[in-house]
Formats: sequence, C-alpha cells, structure tokens
Amino acid sequence: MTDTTPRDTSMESDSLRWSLRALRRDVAPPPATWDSIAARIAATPQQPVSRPRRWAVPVALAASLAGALAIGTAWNVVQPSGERSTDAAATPVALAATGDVQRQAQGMVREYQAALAEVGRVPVSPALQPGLAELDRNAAQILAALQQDPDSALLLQQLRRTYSRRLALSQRAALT
Amino acid sequence: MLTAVADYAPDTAPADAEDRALVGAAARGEVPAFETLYRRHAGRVHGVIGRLVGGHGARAEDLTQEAFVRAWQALPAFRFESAFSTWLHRLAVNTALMELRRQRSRPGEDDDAAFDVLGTPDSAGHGTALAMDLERAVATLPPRARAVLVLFDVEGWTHEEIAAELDMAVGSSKAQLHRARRLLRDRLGEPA
Repeated sequence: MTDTTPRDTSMESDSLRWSLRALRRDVAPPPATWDSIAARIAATPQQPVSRPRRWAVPVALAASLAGALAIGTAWNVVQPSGERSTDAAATPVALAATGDVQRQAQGMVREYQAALAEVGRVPVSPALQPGLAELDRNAAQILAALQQDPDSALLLQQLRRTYSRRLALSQRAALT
Repeated sequence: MLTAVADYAPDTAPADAEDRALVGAAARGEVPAFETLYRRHAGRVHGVIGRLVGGHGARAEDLTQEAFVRAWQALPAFRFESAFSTWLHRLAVNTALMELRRQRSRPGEDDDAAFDVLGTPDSAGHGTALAMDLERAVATLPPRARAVLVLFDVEGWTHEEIAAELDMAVGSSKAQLHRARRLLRDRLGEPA
C-alpha cells in the first residue's frame, strides 16, 4: 500500500519536528565580534541603579509616573499621529516637544530606573511576574529600536506607555 | 521558553553558579568578567539570532553585537529572577525580533514588505532547490512564518509566548506555523 495514511503523515511530521529540533545548536560568531563589542561597551555606560530610601518609593513612583505621563501627554498633544512634524509654523509647544527625542527618552529611562530600583526589592507576587517580565521585554525592544531610529516619536510614545504600565504594575505589587 | 531551556541544558546548576559570580562582576563594570560571559554564551546567542534572521552572516553578527551591548547596559538591573542564560537567550531573541518590528514601524512599508526585507537570506545562490538542506530551507521561509517556526519547532516556545513576543494573536501564531511547515515541506520536496 503506497497511499499516505494519517499515520504516515504523522510520522513524517514527527520526523520533520525532530529534524528541526536538531537545528538548535550553537554557532560561534566571527572571532572579531568580541573586539567590536568591547569597543562599543567602552563607550556605553551601564545604566546606574540608584537606591532611594524605602519611604521614598511611593513618591519616586508617583514622580516617575507623572514625568513619563507628562512627556507622553505633551507629545500626544503635539504629535497625535506619532510622526515628527516638519511644519515650520509649528506652535511654541510643538517646538519644545519636538526637541530631542533621545534626550527625552534618556530622561524617561533615568526616572523610570530610579523608581524601579527600589520597587524591585519588594517581593512580587508570582501572578504579577509574567506581566512585569513582558513589559520589561517590550521596553528593552523599544529602547533598542530607538537606537536605530532616534527621532521616532512613535517609539517614544510606546516607551512612555510601556513604562507607565510597568510602574503602575510595580506600584500595585509593592502595595499588596 | 523555560521548558525549552531545560531541554537544551538539563544540568545547568554549576554553570548558573559560575554565571552568577561573573554577572555580579560584570554588573559592577568589570569588562573581563563580561568577556568571559560572552565566551560562554556567544555561540548560543549567535545561533538563535542566525536562525531567526535566516543566516549567520553580517546581519546576524551585527545583531549578536547588539544583543551583548544591550546585555551589558542592562546587567546592573538583572536580578536573577531567571538564570542568566535564560535571560540572555530571551534578550537575543528580542533583539532579532526587534529588527522585524523596526522594519514594520517605518511609514509606508506594510508588514509583508518589511518582513520580506528581513527575510532575505545572507547567503547568495540559495535557489538551488535540489541541494537545499533543512537549515537553508528554513532560512528561505517568509520572515514571520520563519520566526514562528524557529521559536516553536526549534527553540521550543509555546504559541502563547510567541504571540506575545511577535505581538500577534495565538491563533495567528498557529496559522503561521502551519504555513511555515507546509512551505518547508514544499521546498524540501516532501508530501504535505
């Protein structure tokens, strides 16, 4: 019998999956890769983790949330479409908000990390951990994208939104 | 994801303990410790990035660099909520997938076009279908389908994890996997 029966198909499928799983192997990068990384990290300071006093946590969180939201709100007012304006007749508010996206992002990161460093020492319910991890991944992805596209208002908006959500969830975790 | 890591390295406790000391030193800015971490994990990072972008050429090398630079920056905030190897693997996957998202975020480019850009394999002359092996066949899949297939069938992620990472519905992840397997069989000359 030469017809392809469901069992044959299943065996073929299993065979393919085993073959695919076997592709999971290490591949050494070119030897010079480390030299490039070393040069880059020499010019790349690590993100400092500050340690505010315990009682200051709610204040730091509130300030970070307010700061992040204020930046985002200003940006939303000016750039509802998420795109950088090239209109020479932009309003003063618009000119202020369309300054340096990278500088705003860096300020946002500093504020966020200052608050998060302290909150991170508070035990977090396992139920909240997947959500926190997902938001951290999203923030890291957005920061990496900002390095590639430093003038992206859309990415700045996404970062603000992600940090706001992350801090709100952290605050909830710290208060429970 | 955690299951996949366990499959990959069933006895990781000693390695994790060594990583912990190195991570502590690297988080304090000690470059030699970070270089040791790089030597220990570069193959795995470069491997998964290459599988996701469809080749281990210049693009994968750039993304491997990017992943380790990001790891260096983020180390002071790393709190060992998972093994360092797990965290780094996830960061590497994110770095590769971020390239997809970056392409998608460009105005005027639709998703398929952006994914097709990323999906162009590094190696030239891949059209020799008769001699195509499995790895090369995977590399020539459309980018989104390839990403789902690599994460599910190669790396052992769940559809829920893939959907979250790729910002798609779970059902879309399953559909992309089905599509990827079908295309793969076609390209390998196997019956569907």
